[in-house]
Amino acid sequence: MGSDCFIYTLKRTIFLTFLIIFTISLSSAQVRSSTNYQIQSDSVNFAGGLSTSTNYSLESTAGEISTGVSTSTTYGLYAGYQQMQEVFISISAVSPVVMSPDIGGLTGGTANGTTSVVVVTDSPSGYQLTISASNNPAMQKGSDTIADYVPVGADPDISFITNTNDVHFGFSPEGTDVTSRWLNNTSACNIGTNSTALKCWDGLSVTDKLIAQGSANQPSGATTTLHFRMGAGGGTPIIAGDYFATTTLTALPL
Amino acid sequence: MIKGIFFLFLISFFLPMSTFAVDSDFTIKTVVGDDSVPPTTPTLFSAVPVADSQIDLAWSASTDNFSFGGYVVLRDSVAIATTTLTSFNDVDLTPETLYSYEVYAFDSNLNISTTSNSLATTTLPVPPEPVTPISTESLDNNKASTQTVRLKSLDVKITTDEAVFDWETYGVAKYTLRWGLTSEYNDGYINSNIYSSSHKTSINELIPNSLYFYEIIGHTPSGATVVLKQDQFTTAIEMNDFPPPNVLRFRAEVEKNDVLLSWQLPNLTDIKVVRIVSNPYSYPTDIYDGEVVYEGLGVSVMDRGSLLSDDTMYYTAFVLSEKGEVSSGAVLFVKKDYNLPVEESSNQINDQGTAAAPFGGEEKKEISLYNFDANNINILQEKYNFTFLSDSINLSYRKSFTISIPYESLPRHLKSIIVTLLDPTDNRRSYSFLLKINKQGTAYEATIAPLNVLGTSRLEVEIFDFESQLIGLYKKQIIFSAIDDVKVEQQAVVFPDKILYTTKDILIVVAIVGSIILLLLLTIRFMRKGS
Repeated sequence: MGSDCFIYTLKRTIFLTFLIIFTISLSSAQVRSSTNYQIQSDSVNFAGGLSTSTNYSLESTAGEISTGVSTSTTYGLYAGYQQMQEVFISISAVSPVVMSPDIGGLTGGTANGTTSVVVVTDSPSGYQLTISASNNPAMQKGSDTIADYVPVGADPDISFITNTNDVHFGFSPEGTDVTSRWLNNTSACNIGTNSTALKCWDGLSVTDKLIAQGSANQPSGATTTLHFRMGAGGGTPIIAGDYFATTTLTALPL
Repeated sequence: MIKGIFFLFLISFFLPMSTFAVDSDFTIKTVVGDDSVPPTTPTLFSAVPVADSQIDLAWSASTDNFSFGGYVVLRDSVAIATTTLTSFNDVDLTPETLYSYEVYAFDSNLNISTTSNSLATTTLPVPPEPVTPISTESLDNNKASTQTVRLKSLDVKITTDEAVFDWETYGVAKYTLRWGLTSEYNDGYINSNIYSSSHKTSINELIPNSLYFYEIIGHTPSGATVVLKQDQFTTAIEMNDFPPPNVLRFRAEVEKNDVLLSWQLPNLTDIKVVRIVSNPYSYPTDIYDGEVVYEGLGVSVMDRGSLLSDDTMYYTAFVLSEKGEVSSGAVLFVKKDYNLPVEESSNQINDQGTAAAPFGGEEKKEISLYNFDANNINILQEKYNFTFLSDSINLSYRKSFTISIPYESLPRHLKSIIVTLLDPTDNRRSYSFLLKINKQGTAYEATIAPLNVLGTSRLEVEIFDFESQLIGLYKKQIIFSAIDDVKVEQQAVVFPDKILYTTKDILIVVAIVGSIILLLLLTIRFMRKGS
């Protein structure tokens, strides 16, 4: 009986020991953040710690030998006992888009504009690129608005369709990293493997719409081109003036 | 405690990995314009009377900030026309009458400009007397100096079913364009009511591969009527509608009452079968016109007993394609106990199987049938289009070609047309083919498979007319060469296919070999004696 109890206690101790070690290791491998801070990584040292008194405060460590960051255009070296596991991501400044030609308020027409964005990241898991508009609908002039483009079905429209009474504004992404929703088989979107200019049209939204997802691409980065189009069928008059859509592209490392 | 640790473990394990993102904001601008703005006002440049019934107007172009629409022409403040051009010919006016003109512009949103300046002018007086038509010849001979219109240039573009005329004249004139399948020009006409020195019009719905006659007459403001041009054109052939090529080298040998027929298959991928039909009276003109003596994909057949009851037998070999199309037919005829040509023609082309007069033995004449002439005999090979009046006919030896004669160029009653091609490498041999009306009923055609031999040949076209008993005979030299061949991949087959040795040749070879053997034997014998 005493032997069985000992064996049971031993097993329990071993299990808890492994569980604690595993839990600590997992915890230390993760990053945390709040609205005020972000920890790239934390560590558990074999020695050191925070010592305080009413007169001083000492943060002591043991084990680190030498640290530093060395970078070039093609690599980044984070040397030391445990250098911060930084994920690098950048997004290029996007030029404002001025669509052309002007559209007749009574006769209607089609105006087009294009811009592109480059996302560079070394995130091992890659990145995501989303687009959102500040307003609903996106294109506005004071209280005058132009509707966001609405595809016929759940998927983007392969072509930008403007009927007589339509006045609307949409976009079409193009690039190597665009997600499957924006790929086409020449006759429909969200099917096929083609990323084609001026194909697969959707409207902007105040909520993020995923347009591209790719892998680590430092240093060259990945370019995504955005085509914008406003169509007016001429059946619905438009109040003359300059309309704007303030848009945000967000690149998120994974 | 264990529960607490396990809870911590789970919490830490499922804590999401939070990351940071980067943004880029930008604006998209589009301008919606005020298209209630009218176009700019045109300026009326000129108002010129060119006849007793016509005044020509011209004005400057207007512009619009969005979408220009056109112009409205006002005569005496009444809108008479709308146009997108910057000129207008006002016709059907009264002679010697003052007219005032203005123009305004409009955009696609129907905003209208202010009205242009006004110009007024008077139409010309009525010309004294109408003038009877003056022939083109007098104009060509520069005897038309007193005329007010003369043809400056003329361009006629012909397709399979359309002719586009574009011409200019010295002096302004209205025109009448007449055309037809005969020189009566009775198929249609176009009258213009505008005096101008530049005209363009088209005739449509023409029959492909047909000869048309046309006449352009100019009517001057002074009342003169001048024949500007009388000519003809042939509409193009629809190239994809040619019949399948015929068999090649269709020949016959008579053995008592039997006839051995042989031929070569054309290089046709969708050839279905060769059908040979015989008829004791005339060449079978279709696959049902006689007795079928062979059907298959072979290259010879013995027609046994063919001449048992008939002294003469006519044969036609048809190629049937998988699409159901039938070639025009390769023809020959034979006579009992007669293995030589029925008649010797001046070109020495006859050999067994040569086509001759099977419809009554009329004497051949080189005559003109009705309006038919050698220009109606077309030789077509892909991009090349020759007629019997072409200076020379140079065809690729490796491609099929088609002989085509417009249906309308010959009388519509029963007729037969046979073309005979001399073998380019042996002019003693020739091969004959029927011409058959094509599917569209627009032409008599026969397609001949590639000969695959280089050389000069001659094509003869014989036209048999049952009603008038006339025969037209036309001959033209044809050269088969390597035109269009970037690289000749294989040597052309040279006729004859077999090299034949004469007895004399064999004796010479035997004599030479025997001499060498004898010399060797004498040498050996001499050496043995020496040793």
